[in-house]
Amino acid sequence: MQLRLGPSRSLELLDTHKKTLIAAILLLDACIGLLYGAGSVAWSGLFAGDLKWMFQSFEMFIGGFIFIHSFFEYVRRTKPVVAFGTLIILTTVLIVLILQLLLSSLGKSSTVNYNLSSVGMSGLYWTAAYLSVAAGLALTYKVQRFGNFAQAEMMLIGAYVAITLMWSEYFFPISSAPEDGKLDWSLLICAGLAAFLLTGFVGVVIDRFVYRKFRKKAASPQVMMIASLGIAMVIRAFLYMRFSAGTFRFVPDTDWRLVESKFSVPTKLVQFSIGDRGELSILRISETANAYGFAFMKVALVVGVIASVVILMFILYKTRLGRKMRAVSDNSDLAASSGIDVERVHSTSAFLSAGISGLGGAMLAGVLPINPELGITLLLPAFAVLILGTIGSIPGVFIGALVVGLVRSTSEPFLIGIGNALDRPTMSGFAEVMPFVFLIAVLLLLPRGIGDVLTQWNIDRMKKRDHSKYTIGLGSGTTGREIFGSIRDNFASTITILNNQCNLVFANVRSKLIWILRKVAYLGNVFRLVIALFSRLLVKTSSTFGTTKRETERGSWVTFGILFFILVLIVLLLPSATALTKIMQVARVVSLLGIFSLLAISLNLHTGITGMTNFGVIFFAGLGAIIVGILCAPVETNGYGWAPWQATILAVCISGLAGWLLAYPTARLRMDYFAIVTISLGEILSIALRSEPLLRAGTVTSAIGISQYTRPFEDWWNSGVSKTVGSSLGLPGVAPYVLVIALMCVICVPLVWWLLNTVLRSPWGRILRSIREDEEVSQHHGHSVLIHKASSLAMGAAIAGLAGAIWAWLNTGIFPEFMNPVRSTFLVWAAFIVGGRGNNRGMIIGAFLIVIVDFFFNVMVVARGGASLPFHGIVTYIDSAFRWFIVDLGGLVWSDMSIDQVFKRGIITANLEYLKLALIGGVIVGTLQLAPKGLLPEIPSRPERSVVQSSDRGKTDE
Amino acid sequence: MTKKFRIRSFGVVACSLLLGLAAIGCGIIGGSTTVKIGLLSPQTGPIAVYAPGFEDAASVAIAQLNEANDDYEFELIVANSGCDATQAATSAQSLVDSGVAGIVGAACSGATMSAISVAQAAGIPMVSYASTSPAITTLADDGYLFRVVPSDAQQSVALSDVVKANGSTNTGVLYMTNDYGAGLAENFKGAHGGLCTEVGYDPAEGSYDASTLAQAIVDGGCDSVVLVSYATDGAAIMEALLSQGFSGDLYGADGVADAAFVNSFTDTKAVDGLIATKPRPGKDSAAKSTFETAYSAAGGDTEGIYTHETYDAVNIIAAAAMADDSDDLRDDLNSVGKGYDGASGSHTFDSNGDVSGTGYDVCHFHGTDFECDKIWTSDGGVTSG
Repeated sequence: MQLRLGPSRSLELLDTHKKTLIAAILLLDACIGLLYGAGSVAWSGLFAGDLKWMFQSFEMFIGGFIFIHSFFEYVRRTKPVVAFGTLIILTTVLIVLILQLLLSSLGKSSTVNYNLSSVGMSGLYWTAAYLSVAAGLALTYKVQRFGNFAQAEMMLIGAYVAITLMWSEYFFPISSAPEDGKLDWSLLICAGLAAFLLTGFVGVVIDRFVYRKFRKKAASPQVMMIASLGIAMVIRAFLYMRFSAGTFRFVPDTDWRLVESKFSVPTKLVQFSIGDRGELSILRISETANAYGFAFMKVALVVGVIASVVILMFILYKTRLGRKMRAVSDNSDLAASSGIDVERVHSTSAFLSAGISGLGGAMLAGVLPINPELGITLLLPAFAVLILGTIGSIPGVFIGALVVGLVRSTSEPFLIGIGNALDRPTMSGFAEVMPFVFLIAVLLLLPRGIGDVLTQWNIDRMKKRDHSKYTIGLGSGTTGREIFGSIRDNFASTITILNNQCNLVFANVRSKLIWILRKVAYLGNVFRLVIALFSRLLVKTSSTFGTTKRETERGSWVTFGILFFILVLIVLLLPSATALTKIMQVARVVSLLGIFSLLAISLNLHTGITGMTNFGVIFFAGLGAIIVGILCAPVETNGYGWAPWQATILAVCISGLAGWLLAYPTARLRMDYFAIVTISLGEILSIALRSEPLLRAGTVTSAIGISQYTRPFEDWWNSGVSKTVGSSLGLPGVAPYVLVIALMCVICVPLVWWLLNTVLRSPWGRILRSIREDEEVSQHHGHSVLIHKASSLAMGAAIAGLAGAIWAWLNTGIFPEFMNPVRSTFLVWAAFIVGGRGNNRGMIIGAFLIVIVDFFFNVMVVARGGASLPFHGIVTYIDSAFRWFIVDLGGLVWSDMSIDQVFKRGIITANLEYLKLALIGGVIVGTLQLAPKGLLPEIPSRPERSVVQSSDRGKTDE
Repeated sequence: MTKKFRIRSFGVVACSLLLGLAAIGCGIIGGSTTVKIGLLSPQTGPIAVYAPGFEDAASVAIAQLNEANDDYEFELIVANSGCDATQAATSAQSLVDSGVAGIVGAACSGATMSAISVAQAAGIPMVSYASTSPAITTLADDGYLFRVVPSDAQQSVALSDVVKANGSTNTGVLYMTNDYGAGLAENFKGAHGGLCTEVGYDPAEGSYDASTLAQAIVDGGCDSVVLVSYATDGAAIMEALLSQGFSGDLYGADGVADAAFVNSFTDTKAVDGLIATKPRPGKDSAAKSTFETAYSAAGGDTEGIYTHETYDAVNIIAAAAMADDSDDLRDDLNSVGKGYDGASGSHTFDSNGDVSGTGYDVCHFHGTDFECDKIWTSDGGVTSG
């Protein structure tokens, strides 16, 4: 406890007096600015148009927030709950005040419609939706201590189990029955149960084959988290291949989905008016609002998810199993010593956490049309919920979900009203990222989440009362026990009824399942044999190849040289039509290699060297790209008409500055918190790119996206140089511009690499490594952890910003899809893991592999089109294998209808794009298991002290 | 043993490489001329749902072309655009590497804009079938980029006229915040003037709550709503509107203007009364019926958006390749694209490679029946066609 408080105190920026003074100055300056158009923002002359009021509002918010922060710090020691309540109220008041000043100075007014039931019910809906992923996430965290990226995929599996069940011969007649005004429950309940059990089973299998091995090696939570990212990629890819990207809905019975199938909730419409509102009063209540309709299916979702979380809490806090689970989560060694079968507890918890998400998914499929893309959409807010509820506490995650759900539903009408007044109707898009904004705001104040406040409060409360009567947790006390008793009885009777109803189906399924399991077991044995042979071979080759040698400077270079040569050879062998297209192809490979290498080097500096788990690679790259794009776009199309070199310098500086500033709120966060904050920042930037008119340039109509920006050396290149180069390369026409980008990469990457290596060899680099190994020790030796983390973040962010700028030039346009982490951050992570953490040579090889895999799979995708193309035979073979898998093998499990619904016209082909995704995911997991240090391991600065596999140990943040 | 194994595995690798090289060499098939046409299809990413429709429409076109022309052998080479600039450019490179004559694509405007930089450098023209962003008009593409879909600007005028002709005065707009939705909504606002309320949403499932969007329209007191959406989200919002007791007029754009939109509903009552506009087929709609017959015979749903356009784009490139009057396919495309009567309308490329379209059909749903009984033209406004 004391240790943790240490750095947090030393990280305080300023003392209270200075803080108050600065806050007062900021507030005053911003007020003058907003009211009279004066103040520092106006006088500086840097900003014009909408940017002016944006900066003034931002300034005012910062000023006000510092005030609130100091007040909060003052009160929270004594009355944490009161402090938290007033904090929310004060922040809301501050925002309303800013908007009032802003809108009245602009002469505009805004009406915000709050439909009370709509806000409340919508909040409940979001709570349940987020909780369907977050509850399982919290349980995994509690017992196994890592953030599971594959949790959303568990939810998806549940959803698809429900949909497949609906398509089965037994149930389809029910789901397509004509309307009769009566709700049929059987399919809904069976689907919920089947989703729970099957998804739980998948969870156990994954735990057994993947996570158990990591546990045996005492892998750090960071390693487990990245492995789960790989697993998520594999599962998502398989779901895509089986169920396509199309959307499907789970309809338990036609009556469930009718428009009349809703509860009418009476409501009041409250209207706020802000700004230049004239005669209108600030608050009006309209009596004439229509009752709000809350669909039955949403009720099923809310009830199903919340009930399962309550049952989970009951299991955790009231049963023997729950005690075991908590014991393992507290100290697994101690638990093992007192006779608890730790592995079995892990399996059970994996079953429960996957099962709950599966159940949530089945219910969600009845509300939303499901496609595999939904996973990532819900995963990130679920992580926000998890952190708010202080990772791993089930009551905490429940409250976190409730708060985030309500924040989301209350912010939406507000954003719509304000957005319309400020001529930004797309502002409501920000409702999607409200969970992240809220999370970041909370973490600024409470670096340990809401649940921590709750625990504090609980402890205080218990201190005041008799210890013997109360225990921590919900549902305690006599009345609670009674209620739980009756719930248990009811539950048991429901189970019996269900059992009878579903027996028929399950008997059938069971006989099939046993048959399949036998086959699978046989296949599994064969597979295991193959794997054993393969891994033996790998170990042998790697030992002759020299694991030890690769960890020396010379050996590392030699390995790098060999691998690089092989990859270059593959590039040269890639087929191409003409000399011109081959040159273009090679230039593109080099450009992408340059961009991904720079990004991987940046990630390596943050994560491999300094030990901060950065999932926001694309945030910094996007920042660089957007700044270069906006500044270089022509003035008449909302741009600023800068020269590319000026914009590049500014982009690199601003990315670096963003990295530096990020250190202040995040340096004291734990590893997982930092990961989620950085990934959230990427999402926020992506939504901003979608929604903010100032971030649109390149067209006169201000369409979404940035385009038409000038690129470096473009004029020079087109003024005849391209012709000269073209003829010297023996091309019929001009040489393509992509050569210029490739050349820039060839110059930039070695330069950055050399610079970084020089810096890392200095004492500064050694301090970064020592921070990675142990923050407290570095602190004790008198090094400022904050400053070093900040400078590492800044330097890495600047490199990523440069990569982003080059990327923008290569793409010729920046659109919101550019910010998708699946296409950038996760790939860079794969390169980082495969290449070898802590070794920049490995980053180049990893990036090269990613780029080559991309090109190689493209060649295969294209090969499907013509029999004459290379690899056509292989693709045909893959397709027939896939067909066999879906129809002949899978047909034993699922109905023909479920195949026809997905593969229209009976054409069953494997989507190679997703196969690639699965391959990349599989390689991540495989590398972590077989060669945790990657292809090119970090070269230790001193000889290993012992043989114990301790490379992963020191990184634990607990 | 290991040594032997290594030699053997080396042999396998070498053999497969040799095979690959041999396969490249065998690109020429005797007899007829082979014309490869590339298709950039969004197989992954936010609009992956529509990719099978595009690919099927293109295959239908290729099958018909091969049947009609004995001298030519057409091949369709599909690559994934991923609705993403980087992926689309890499895929365009792979198409170019495989020796395509022209590229059909891409769907997302961002993908199109980066793919053209590759195609243009290789001297290969591209015909987009779904990119409606106005940014494409002014793109410096050296005349290599064409599209068979009109820019959003026109449809918004058509929609505005339809709304006015129907007597709605206080209209709200719900639209997707992607280049299609935001572009159309912005132009609609410009053409229509004062609106009741405007709300943008992200059409990805799980990122919007249809009830909240519906409630915003109801609470805003709007008498009608214009919905710029795709099919799935459009249906969810219309069901929510009915559920929240909204009884005003409903208007939609081409994303929902199709008989098969009904299939996206679970309660088909909600679709009743929707009025929607969609690009009008050309005078000679023989191509349209040819396509639709073949497409549904092949098992495709004619519901899909931009399937007619994909079919046309493939046919236009094929026609240009067969015409082959000049060395540059770009010039042939310009001469083919003069009053070309396709399945999605009569296309004439202007100097920017854009088409102006031939007006819009104004359709509406009576119950679940879909009927297009009026038309909109740029000079005549809304008339009963």
